[in-house]
Amino acid sequence: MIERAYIIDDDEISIFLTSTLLETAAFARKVECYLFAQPALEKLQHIPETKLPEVIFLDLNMPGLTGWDFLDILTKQEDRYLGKSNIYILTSSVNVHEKELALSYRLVSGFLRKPLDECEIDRIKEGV
Amino acid sequence: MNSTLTSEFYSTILQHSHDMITIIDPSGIYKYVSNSVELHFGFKTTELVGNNALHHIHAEDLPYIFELLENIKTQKQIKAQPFRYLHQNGNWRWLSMVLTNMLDNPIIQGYVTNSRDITEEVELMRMREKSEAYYKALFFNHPDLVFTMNEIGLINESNDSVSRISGYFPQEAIGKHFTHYIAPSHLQEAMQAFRKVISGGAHTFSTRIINKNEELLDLCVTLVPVWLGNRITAVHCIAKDITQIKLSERLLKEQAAQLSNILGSITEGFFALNREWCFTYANRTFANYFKVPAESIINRNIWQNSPELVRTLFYHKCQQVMSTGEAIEFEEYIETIQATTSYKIYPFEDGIAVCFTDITAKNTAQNELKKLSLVASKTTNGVIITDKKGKVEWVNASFTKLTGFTQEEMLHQDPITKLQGQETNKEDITNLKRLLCLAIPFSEELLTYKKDGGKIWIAADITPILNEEDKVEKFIVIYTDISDRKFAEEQLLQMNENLVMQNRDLQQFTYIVSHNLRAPVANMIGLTRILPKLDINTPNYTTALQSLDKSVLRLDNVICDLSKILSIKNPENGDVAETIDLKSISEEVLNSMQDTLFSLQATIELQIPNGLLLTAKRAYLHSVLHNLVTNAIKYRSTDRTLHLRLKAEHTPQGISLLVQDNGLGMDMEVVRPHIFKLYKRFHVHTEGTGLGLYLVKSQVEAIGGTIDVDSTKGHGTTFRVFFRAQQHDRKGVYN
Repeated sequence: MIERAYIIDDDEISIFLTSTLLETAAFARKVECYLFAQPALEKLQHIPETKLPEVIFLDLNMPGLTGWDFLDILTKQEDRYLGKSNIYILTSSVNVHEKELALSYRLVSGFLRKPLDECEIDRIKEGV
Repeated sequence: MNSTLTSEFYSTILQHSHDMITIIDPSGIYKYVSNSVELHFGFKTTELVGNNALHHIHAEDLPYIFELLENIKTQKQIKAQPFRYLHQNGNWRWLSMVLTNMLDNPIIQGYVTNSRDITEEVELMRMREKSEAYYKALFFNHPDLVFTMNEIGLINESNDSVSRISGYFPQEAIGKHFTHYIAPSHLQEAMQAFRKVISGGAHTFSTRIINKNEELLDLCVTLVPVWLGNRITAVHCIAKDITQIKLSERLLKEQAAQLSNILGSITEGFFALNREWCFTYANRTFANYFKVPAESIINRNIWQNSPELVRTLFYHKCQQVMSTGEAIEFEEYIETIQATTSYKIYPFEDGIAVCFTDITAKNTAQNELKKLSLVASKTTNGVIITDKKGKVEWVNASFTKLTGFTQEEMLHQDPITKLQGQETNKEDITNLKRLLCLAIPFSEELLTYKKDGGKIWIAADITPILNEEDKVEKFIVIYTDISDRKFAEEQLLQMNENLVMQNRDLQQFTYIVSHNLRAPVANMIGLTRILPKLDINTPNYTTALQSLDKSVLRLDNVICDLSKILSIKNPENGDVAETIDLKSISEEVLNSMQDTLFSLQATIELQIPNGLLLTAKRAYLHSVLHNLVTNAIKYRSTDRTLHLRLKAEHTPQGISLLVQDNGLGMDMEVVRPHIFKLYKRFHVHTEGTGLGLYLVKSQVEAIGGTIDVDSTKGHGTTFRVFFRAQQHDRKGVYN
């Protein structure tokens, strides 16, 4: 079981669904949920490296700061997060180009399609 | 000595003396006659003595002799004037006589006559007198100027004619040097002539003098030297006033030269033939045309010179003019010179005059022109010919058929001005005028107007016609109706635009499918999967169930949105455009939201004049206004009460509508690229579907307008909608 996981998604239902699944799968001791990317980003930038979440589930399409903006900002401090926080894109999009683009970020460890399922959670657990 | 002086001695002397001695009594009777009388007059002394001497005197001289006899009575001696005495042979002889009165002498007792035959001398003298008179007559009465100069050129004597013609009287002229009267231009020549005569040669030359009235006179002068002994002592000068002759001569020469110039300068060929068919004149053009010097053919017989002409019509016409004396004009192709020539033949006193012009080139050009004009007038394209200033000189029938304007209506008009209209592109006109100045052929497509106001798209092929100096002389415009093609082009453009829009819609649609449709579906899948695993009594189960419900509703909403979008995009849908008053529809929209606005204590500023009319689908316009007002309400600031301003005005380009709020505002840097896109939301704290502005834009465009936005974060947002000036039915352009 990992220590900490973030869910960043503007869709409340999606957050409920993802967090319930993680809970069921005993994925992390603590799951933090964010409806907007901005507060999540601020937190990541201010906590000590030891408190960084091992896994971040990130939605791409959000009002305000989008998932892409979020990735771009973190990439600027790539070293701080690389190997410590694994970002998994979790989106309802079926767009192939989006997947390719997302995987080109070094911080991105995987591209998942909603809904998240138990097998994928297990695979992530193993990967971490 | 005394011994020799005998009477015999005297008698002998007397007999042989040259003189004749007689003694007559006072009545004239011979008392004594010397023997020498016989020698000189053929009479024997005996025949005379006792007879009266007066019988031998010429009747004309008798009075003088009587007078003499009377005078001698009282004088001793008288020398008589010569008189005539009858010779024995019947001839009269001139005698000179000395009469001595010796009546007192007792031996003589009479008058002694001592006579001598001076006939030879008298005749010589008379001859001299005669020649003198002749000379004087010749000198003084000569009608020409006659004067004498001495050997150095001083005038000695001058006749009346000199005074009459030169105006100088003898007293003025005599003693003056002849050069005094010579015109400076002729001085050299006159002096030379004088030198020549002094060296012994009589000769004639022309000179010019200045008369007393300071007029120039032309003289023809003959100088004759006068020899006395073996030297020249004087020079006779006979001068004829030839001023009038010279003048006439000059006039004649000038006239001849003038005539020759006139005939020479005629650009037509010109020659004259006398009655023997010989050339008497040929001008320069003739010489150039036949490449023979004009002088070489003068006096040559034309038919002998060019025998082949005898077979021509020209020959017969010449004969005709010569015989009838009537002028003729005709044209003929002459084989030998391979040219068509136009002739005019005139009769004149001494023959005929012929004027001719080679009209081969003219005929060829005329034929060419005839063919060209046939093409221009019969072609289905419109043809305009303008002068160098672009004013119409001619249009063909097809042009009239195409535009409705007749030749008379177009004449001297500027076709550009005449044919352009309201919708003609001004840039096209400017470009056209620029190209015209370049004097090069070009093509231009232009929207023009017919006489009845109908529009016609034309392609104008414009060709400048240049003269020899490369200056534009005319323009030829070929006018082709390309309306059909233009219409097709326009349609194609419209279709392309539609396609682009549809393509964009498709992309949006894909996006919706990928996200907004997929998102609730994904949730539904996830929820249905975990529901069975959840304890029915836990709050999670309830949440999951409610979430499932929400997801289904959201899916339904998205499908409804899609339906709306599709209905706008599909032009075939129900509603028809109508004329809508912008002010009333705005009030209608605001009224429908009155409750909300009232509860927010919002202030509304409605600045829309009456009678601002738009042609649009009512539902769209309503939706646009509704969405913009809703947006203003939705994104109002919590710090201040909402102030909403709707303002519209008429501009030359169309109607502009402004919807302005004092709400949250947006960071334009961030939102500009996305604001009107489907399912884009910019405000994080409010609920929004992200459909509204996309719909607004789509509907504005469907009405034929544009929308733009300006916003400042924290101050408010302004939407500007612009409806272009209402056009007529687009298809009407091509009717």
